[in-house]
Amino acid sequence: MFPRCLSEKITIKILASGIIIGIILSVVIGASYHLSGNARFCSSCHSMNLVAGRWQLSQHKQFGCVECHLPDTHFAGQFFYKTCAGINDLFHETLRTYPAKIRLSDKGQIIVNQNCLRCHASTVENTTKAPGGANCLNCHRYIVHGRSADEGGIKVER
Amino acid sequence: MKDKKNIIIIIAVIFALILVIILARVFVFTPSPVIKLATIPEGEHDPAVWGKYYPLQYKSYLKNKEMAPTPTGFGGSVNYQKSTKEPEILMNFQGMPFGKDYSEDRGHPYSLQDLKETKRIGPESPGSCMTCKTANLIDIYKDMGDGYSRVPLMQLFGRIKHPITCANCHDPASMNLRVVVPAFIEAMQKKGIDVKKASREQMRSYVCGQCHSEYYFAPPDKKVVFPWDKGLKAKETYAYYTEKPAGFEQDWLHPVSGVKMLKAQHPDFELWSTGVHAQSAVSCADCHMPYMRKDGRKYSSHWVTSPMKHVESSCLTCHKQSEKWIMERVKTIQNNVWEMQRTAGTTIARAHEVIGKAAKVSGVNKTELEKARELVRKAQWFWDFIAAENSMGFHSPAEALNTLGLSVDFAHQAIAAANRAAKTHY
Repeated sequence: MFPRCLSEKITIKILASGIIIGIILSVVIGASYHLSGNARFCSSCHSMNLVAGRWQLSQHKQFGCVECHLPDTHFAGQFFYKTCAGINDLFHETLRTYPAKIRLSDKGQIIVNQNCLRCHASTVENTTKAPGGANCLNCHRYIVHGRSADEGGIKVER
Repeated sequence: MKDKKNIIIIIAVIFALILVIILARVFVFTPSPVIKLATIPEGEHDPAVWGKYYPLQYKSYLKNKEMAPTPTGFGGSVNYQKSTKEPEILMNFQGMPFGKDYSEDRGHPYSLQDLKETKRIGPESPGSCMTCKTANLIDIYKDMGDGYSRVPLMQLFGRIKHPITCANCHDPASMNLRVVVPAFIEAMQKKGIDVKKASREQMRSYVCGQCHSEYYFAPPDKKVVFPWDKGLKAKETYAYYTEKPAGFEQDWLHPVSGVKMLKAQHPDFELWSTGVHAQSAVSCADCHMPYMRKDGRKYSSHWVTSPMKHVESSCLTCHKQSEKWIMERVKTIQNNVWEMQRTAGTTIARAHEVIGKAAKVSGVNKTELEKARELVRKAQWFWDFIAAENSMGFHSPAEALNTLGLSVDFAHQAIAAANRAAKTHY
């Protein structure tokens, strides 16, 4: 037997709206998480044009930006990190205060390293470069984004 | 109840507005990736006119007026007499204009003013002296050809209105880089390089190298010539001068030692070309005119100064170490070179003195004395090649220290030879 209150109109209303809001929220979160993980979304920012262009020419072009730049952790951790990073990016993109050359932060380097090892751990496990042994980017930092130098420099409109 | 509703509406509107602004800035009104080409007539040398169309570049060019030391303490753009820090200059350049006035150089906007004010210039100065000091060189060379070098400098001043400005490096019609100094174009031609066919990356060094190079006034017309036929190093240019090109034997006769001396002038391009940066195809502009960004628009800085003033834009583009690490590295290199430069300079000053004293001894061995004179001439060339260069050895540390090391040895050999010649123990 259901408790009696459950069959009251107001309870059904609250429950129904809760379910609907829940569905909408998960769709929105899921969709935004998915869409914002798309490389096209990342490169729609002016500041990301150059690095995105170089990535497309690289041997890692089958992997999206988030595969390397989000921490190798559970969904909630990734979602939190991404939200913070996204707010920061949006702030600087809107104010246009980003530098000519964007560098990976120390924290960003740790994250990328973790992600290198997600695939390449077995390659290095019997070497001195085993996980924790070295920063992959010390030698391999040009692999994906090249030197990110503008080919031909600043273009003049003719 | 109504108030509450209004507040909610106002907040909603503000949020919507912020969202619209963000979306518009990020997705609609993106910064233009190209620069619009302006029509500037050839012969327009006023940088302010160019600046109307290229404001970011112009604004950074104006920063060249700043007079400030560099973070490492070497170079900089403060006008001071170098002899206050290196008194050996007074002995080594005695009897020539640099003995009277040898000040630290200032930025490009001052080139004309400093040319007019230096004590090195007089009524006898040839037109060649203005070659690298003004954009008006372009018009004067067009009218007179090589003949401009013979015309007295004072006479040319009437036609010189601007210092080194945009046109020295840019073709106004296309904004492409170009070189305008005839001596540079000729010197490169002799090396088999056609500067008209140079790549953009090469031009980013050539535009600087057209002036930041060693030269001499070839007799009889005092034409500016670069001594590059045998190579760009100190020993190679010295070998070139040893053959007395076009009868050119000396810049001046040293009054103390009686040596036919040479004066080196800022071989920045030469020293850079032997360094690891040049060999990794890093151009002058890569470090001295790095990319900057303003409002999302990328531009190359036209504040041509020590890269140590903007390590992040210059060095950290390639180097992944910290700014502090880079600074320490550069300081170490420059301090080492400075120590060797002072050692060489002071030993050479002593050599001039010893030769002067030995020459006065009666019955001095003339052949030995001439050997001593040749050695100090060479020693001073090697020292000056680094001392007159603007990077305190940084452009090529190994080459700089090698050159200075040889200089110290030549100077000691000169002292020994002079003492042998006069049987003295100075």
